[in-house]
Amino acid sequence: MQLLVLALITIYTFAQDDLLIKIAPDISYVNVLHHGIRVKVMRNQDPEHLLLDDYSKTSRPCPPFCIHPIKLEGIKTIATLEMVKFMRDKVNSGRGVIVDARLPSWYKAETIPSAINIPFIVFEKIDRKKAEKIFKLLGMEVKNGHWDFSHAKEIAVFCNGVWCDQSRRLIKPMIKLGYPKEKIFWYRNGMQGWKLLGLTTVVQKVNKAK
Amino acid sequence: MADFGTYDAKGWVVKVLVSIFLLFLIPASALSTRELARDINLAGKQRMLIQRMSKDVFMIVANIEKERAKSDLRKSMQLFERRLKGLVDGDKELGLAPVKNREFRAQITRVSKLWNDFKLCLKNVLNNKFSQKDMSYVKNNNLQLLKEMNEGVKILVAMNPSTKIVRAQAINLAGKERMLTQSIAKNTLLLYLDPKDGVARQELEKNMALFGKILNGLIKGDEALGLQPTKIPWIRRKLQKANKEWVEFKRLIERGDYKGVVDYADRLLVTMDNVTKLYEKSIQKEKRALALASLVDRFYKEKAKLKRIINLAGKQRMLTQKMTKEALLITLHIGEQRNEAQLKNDIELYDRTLRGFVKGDEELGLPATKNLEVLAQIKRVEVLWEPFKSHAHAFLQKKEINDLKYLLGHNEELLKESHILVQKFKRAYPSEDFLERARKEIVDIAGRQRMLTQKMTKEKLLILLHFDNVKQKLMQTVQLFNNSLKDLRFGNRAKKIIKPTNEKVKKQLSKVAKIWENLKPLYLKDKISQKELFIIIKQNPVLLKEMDKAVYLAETVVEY
Repeated sequence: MQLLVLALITIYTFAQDDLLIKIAPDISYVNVLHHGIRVKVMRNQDPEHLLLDDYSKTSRPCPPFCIHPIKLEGIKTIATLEMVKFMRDKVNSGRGVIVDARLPSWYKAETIPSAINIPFIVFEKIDRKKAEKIFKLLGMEVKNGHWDFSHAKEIAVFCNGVWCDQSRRLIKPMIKLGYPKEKIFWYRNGMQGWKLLGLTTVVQKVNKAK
Repeated sequence: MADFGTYDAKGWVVKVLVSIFLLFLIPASALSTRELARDINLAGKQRMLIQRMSKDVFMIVANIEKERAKSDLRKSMQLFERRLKGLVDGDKELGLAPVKNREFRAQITRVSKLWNDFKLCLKNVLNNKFSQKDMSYVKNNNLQLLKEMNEGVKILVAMNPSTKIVRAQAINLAGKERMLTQSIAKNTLLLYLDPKDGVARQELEKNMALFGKILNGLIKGDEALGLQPTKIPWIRRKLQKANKEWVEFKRLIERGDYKGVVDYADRLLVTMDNVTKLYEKSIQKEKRALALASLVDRFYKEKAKLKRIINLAGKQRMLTQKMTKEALLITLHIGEQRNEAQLKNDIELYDRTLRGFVKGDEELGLPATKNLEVLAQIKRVEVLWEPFKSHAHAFLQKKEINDLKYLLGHNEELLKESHILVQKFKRAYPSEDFLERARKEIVDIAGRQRMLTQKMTKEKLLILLHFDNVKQKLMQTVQLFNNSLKDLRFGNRAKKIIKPTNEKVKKQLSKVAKIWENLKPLYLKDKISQKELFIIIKQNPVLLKEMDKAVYLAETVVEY
């Protein structure tokens, strides 16, 4: 079996109030669990740090990689701070889930701590039986043959960035199948927005040609 | 610069697989982990109730908040009895699933027998008809009842389907702490009633030590107790709260403030109950996440099969040319033994993949084809393949020129039909948008390049064997490979090939281009030396291998 490596990108283990670069004046870091492992989500403490990977690219060809509008399917769009708060308040209390809509190779290569992976293609032309199985694990209940989303979890969906349509392609069929719009949030800035602020990411596997 | 801490997640993956495997092993009648966690918690709570009821009895006897104690006792008795029944028969309202395990049921029968006698004494206390005999009975038998109930909890913990879920023990012991709070309060009351009660003092000291040990074990881990340190932040916070309360509780006990102890025991009980619930919830949360990951992975693999099919169908085209090339190399006595072995393998692979398209082949990642148009095309390929295969086998055995001639005369026909099969597969699974269509196209074209590497070598060898009419074909093959490689590297808007942006893809294609740069002039050269021929023969498999890597990346590393 291919060896998976999880790298937790933490820079300095400063005490909460000693951090030079905080997330917000009142938030230095947030602890979350990723696959049962505790991860401290904070910002890179090096003021000179620059992005050098794929997320520093500015000009992906459009089409297909076109800039998406701020509104998506009538759901609420959130920014990075709201995402951190979602993590702290909703994920940690079990009321919310962060969903990475990208393909598994991307999820394994690098993702936002605590995110689970539901690749968008899973929901393309999905039948109700399969959708029901996934929704149930997201807290949906079946009452008298009807889907009851009252206890369904709130989800914050993201993909690569403002040019990426994978979130939309996951959210659209979910809504069509009945997942309540008010329980879905779109983190439009995605991985690029997260990394651009030097926030902690988790790495499980590097894609390699056989 | 970022400091990349590393964590070996192999163990985690094994844990996931073992958990999933074990989930399938559990018979349908067995409890789910969620149900089991709930049952452990509530069975554990029974232990606390025994101590609470005993404590209430002594409060009534000592005339301390008598009415409240009576009310509590009544409620506890009802709850204890209902839960006892629920553990055997199930109780939806309490969230209890029936436990079918024989050992557990026998243990509950033992508890019930003790409970029936115990209950009579409690009823007497409630009805103000109690005698010294009743009080002695409660005092002497509450521990026996507790012991038997504890045995039941142990059986449930041992029933945990995955020993990897160590938190079952945490639920058990955090739950046990609830009982200990009540037991400590009970013994404090007994000492208030009779300061010389040596048994009560001994039990008090023992339980205080145990409470401290378990609490410390839950926070820092304790191998002897089977506890790992608790790392979940919100449970740790609750445990720290319990620890503070425990310090205060101890202070009250040491001061002999029996009233304070009784009150504070309930406060600590609530905190420990919350901790137990959090452990229970954390197991459910983890199991749900694992179940979701496994379910999504299964659905994803079903969806991702398409690109795998196109890759393998494309590979079949390459094999038709590779087999012919190998037959030629054998005829020319170049690397005879190696090429014989390879030809044999390639015949088997082509045959297996073709069968896999029809019936499915899990190892190759192929689902059975249901599309009628594709099945009809597979039939057409089979008609060509069967005689081709027979001649290839015959050639391997006898090396007769007639068999070689058959291979040379029919390989392109087989290639053509194999290529049509790739196109039929593409049409059978129409892609939803521009990007998906483009991706399938890239896998197809990159896959075709593999075939071209073999075709051009085959054609070069034929030219060396004086098949001069092949020269034009070779020119076309080289041109096609050259142009396609350019498209793959730099994109081609007209052909809907997106320029790659992923560094790995770009690097791999550059590697192919570098090899090709050296080989191309040799393929185009009219007359080549033996040394140059050997370069082609040696470098051709390298070019194929590197092109195959590029196809793999096109299949797996999706541009976004």
